[in-house]
Amino acid sequence: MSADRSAPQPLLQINAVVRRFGGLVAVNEVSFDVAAGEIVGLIGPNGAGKTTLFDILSGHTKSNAGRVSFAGRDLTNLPAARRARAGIGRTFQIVKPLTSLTVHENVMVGALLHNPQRVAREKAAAIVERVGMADLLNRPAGSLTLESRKRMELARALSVEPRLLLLDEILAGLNPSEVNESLDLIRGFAKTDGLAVIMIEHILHAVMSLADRIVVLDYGVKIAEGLPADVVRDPKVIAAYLGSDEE
Amino acid sequence: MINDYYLNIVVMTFLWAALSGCWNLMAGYGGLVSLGQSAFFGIGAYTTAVLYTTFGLSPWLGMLAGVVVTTSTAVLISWPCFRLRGAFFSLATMVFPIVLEIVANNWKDVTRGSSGIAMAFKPGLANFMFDSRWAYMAAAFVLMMVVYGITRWMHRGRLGLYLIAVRDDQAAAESMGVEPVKVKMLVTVISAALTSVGGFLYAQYILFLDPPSVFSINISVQIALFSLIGGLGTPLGPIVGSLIMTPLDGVLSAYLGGGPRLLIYGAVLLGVVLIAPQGVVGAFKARFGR
Repeated sequence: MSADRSAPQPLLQINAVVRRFGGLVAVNEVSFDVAAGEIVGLIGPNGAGKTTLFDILSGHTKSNAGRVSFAGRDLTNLPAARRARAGIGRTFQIVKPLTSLTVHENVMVGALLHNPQRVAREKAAAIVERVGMADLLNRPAGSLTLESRKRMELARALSVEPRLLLLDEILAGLNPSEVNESLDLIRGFAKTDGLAVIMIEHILHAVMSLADRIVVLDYGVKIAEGLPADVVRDPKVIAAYLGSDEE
Repeated sequence: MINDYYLNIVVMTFLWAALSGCWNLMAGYGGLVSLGQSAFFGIGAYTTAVLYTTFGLSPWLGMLAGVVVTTSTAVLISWPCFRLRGAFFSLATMVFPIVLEIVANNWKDVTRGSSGIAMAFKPGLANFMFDSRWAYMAAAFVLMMVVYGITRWMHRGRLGLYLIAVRDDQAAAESMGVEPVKVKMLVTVISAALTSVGGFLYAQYILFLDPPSVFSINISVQIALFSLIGGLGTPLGPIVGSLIMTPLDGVLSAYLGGGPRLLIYGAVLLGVVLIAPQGVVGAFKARFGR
């Protein structure tokens, strides 16, 4: 049916999405695309609307306007669970461990989405190992340190066998060598496995070294998009981060 | 010698364990702390009794009809309740047995109101009525084991994990593709169906129903209590809870009656809550490992 389309469609298309909370416009007509295998860094000052945009993409909050298409399919009105099934995996900035389950069981919940129980058990263990938590496999999730909880978020995002990964500040709180390990891991997801990755990150040097492209939000508006090297020199971006005279 | 009095306690121990096990499926795994289980129990009992006494329908078919009516009601009433969390869910579910008790008291053409329904005793397997209490004991035991088996199967299986995930963190569960309403509905339907069979068993055993004896809020509370005492969210918990509390209650009411019985019953309850807040099975696990 789509054989006559010449250019390949990007995996994710965000088209003028809007999210208002009362009078506050948290996300204001933001549009951009992400292709498979591409890493997009989503940056901006606190309260810029980055996490709200993730919530819109993963279906955890509804947009007031605009459209989200994924793999050629309109997701705009799909609930969160269906989006996970469609292939969107996400982490939460404020970690949400399932505290009465072990690490293995936490990841199994997602692995069960596309697999029978026995396979899910094995796949979940493999994912836990891949994010470097093999020694914590059978630990109750409630007893983990914050760093381990963040890693488990990553493992759970992977558990649904996603084509798009939404990573919300998974590097925060890690020491420099752990950051480097995580960067290698994320690079592997995109370049080896071909996943599309959007990462919200405050550690700028990390996101600059990793991302193919940067999108900058400020007060809910996309103020810049481009190669990392270009974006950091953009006067609007500098003003947003350092503040301009009016503020 | 085992006389009828003690045999009755055994029957009720198994029946209460089964009913409490049904509640444990919802509350112990999905965090759905229902205080309306007697609605399912009463509908199951009344459907069987009414169909048998009014239309002469075989209780076996009555049991199936009861399951159908109960699960349909469960779907209808739980739909709005699932929007509520925690204590609000519990309060909302508490309303239904109260409403049904009023309905049963006033819908005299069908339920004979507060004078109740007496079922004609015609023993035989075809009518599911028996001369010997041993037969009822066997039936209650089977029901208890069915509930136990389902709980074991669910425990850390797909449905169990999904329910715990939704209970622990709904947003996280959804991000992994779990559909909260679907899993909550599924467990509620299973719980309602088996509780309805418990109601059927009760009707066939006692052969007399009136609204307070099956819809009373006390039944809903007791169902919840036994799992809490035995161990919430464990397959064995409701059975252990009922094994402790049902005989205790039976013996106390035989020898003491009234006030002192409630006092001791309350003291045991308080003791368990203070000493073993995760229930007997939970405390046992904590002390002796998994």
